Amino acid sequence: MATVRKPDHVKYRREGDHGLVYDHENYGYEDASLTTVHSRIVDLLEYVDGSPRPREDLDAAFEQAVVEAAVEEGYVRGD
Amino acid sequence: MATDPLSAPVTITWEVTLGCNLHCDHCLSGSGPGHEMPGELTTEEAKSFIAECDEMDVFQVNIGGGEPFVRSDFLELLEELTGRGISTCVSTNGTQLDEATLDRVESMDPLYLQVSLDGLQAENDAIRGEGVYDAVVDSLERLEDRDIGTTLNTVVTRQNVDDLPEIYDLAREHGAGLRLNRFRPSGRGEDNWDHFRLTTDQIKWLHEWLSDRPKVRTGDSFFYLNAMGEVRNETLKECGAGSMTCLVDPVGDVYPCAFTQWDGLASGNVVEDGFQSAWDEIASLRTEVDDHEGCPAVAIGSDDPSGEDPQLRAILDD
Ligand SMILES: C[S@@+](CC[C@H](N)C(=O)[O-])C[C@H]1O[C@@H](n2cnc3c(N)ncnc32)[C@H](O)[C@@H]1O
Ligand code: SF4
Repeated sequence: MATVRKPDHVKYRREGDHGLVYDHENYGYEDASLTTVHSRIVDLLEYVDGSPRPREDLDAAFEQAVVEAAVEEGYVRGD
Repeated sequence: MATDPLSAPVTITWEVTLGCNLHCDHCLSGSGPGHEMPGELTTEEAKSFIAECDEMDVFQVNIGGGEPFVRSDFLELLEELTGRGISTCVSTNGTQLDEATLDRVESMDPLYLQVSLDGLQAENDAIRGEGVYDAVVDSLERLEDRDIGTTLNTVVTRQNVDDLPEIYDLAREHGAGLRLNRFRPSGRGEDNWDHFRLTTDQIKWLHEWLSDRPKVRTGDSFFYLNAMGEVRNETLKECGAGSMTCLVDPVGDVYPCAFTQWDGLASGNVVEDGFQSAWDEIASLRTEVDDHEGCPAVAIGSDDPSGEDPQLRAILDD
């Protein structure tokens, strides 16, 4: 996993003191799949959004648990 | 218990017109040929609305109607949405998808197509009109080789529930997913509720059939219980109408969802009031729509004050 990026279908925003991630790679009409996340996940998504980053940069900038959670949930992916 | 609405919806359904080349017996929006509403949003108004969705950080716009592809500026509006990175899912009756249209649709991303099929030939055409089944299968064949995420969508009725295994195979053979919609007593569905609604035995069979087919999507509060009456999907338990999602009709009026477009449940207009203030208003409607387990539209539209959903648990526990 040299470079890491955010897949297009993953959307996020800040909501109050936490974040929302919408991970919806499907074709639903009125369904919405939504997860409340820690604001650090939003920080990370902002960091990679638009420009893919080397995985080492992420590891240096964020706590290990935050990076691992983002990867595990598929919010960011390796190229 | 009412849920606090988010600062903006994460997903909305936008009915872009009530015009449609078909006139289905169950249509939730009562659409049909020449049924366009007076004062449907102009291209310019529609584009300002899209800009406001973008500002509000709406993640996904699901498009319905009416038949979206009969609106002459529809592809232009889709380009405006996807150009801003807003995910889109278009619900279509599948009869308007010529090759030139599909070329443009294929060039947009993220975009998903949901093609309606309400049974095998006999049952589908009984609801949707003669020749529609063949047109949909033809579109499915042409979509197969294209890079467009496609799902077949079936509104499950008393008449077509036995067709589901074959519809499932048909979707798979064409590389498409299958999604089921619960039939609601909305629009013309309100007049035909007792004709199309499932029997108790069919409801039990359907929940069992779904248990064995995890790939069939439902996205619908009706399916949050498994065949044993246990909660199978927590996220579907709570209705998101008016707290995470809403409906914008062709003239820009805002309602909690596509199935609850009743007088008294409107909360402003995206042109006159702006989408953000219409959304902020919607909080006051939450107590009306959120007092039911499962789908409030069924409770309100079926004339049954306790709705069918509380009984669903009893049916499945039986
Ligand atoms: C109103 S249609 C509009 C888009 C397009 N004309 C079509 O038929 O797909 C959107 C979706 O709602 C479904 N639908 C229509 N009437 C319904 C009802 N009474 N209850 C549940 N779903 C319904 C349709 O089958 C379709 O999948
Ligand atoms: S369900 Fe779709 S195709 Fe059928 S009348 Fe309504 S809008 Fe038209």
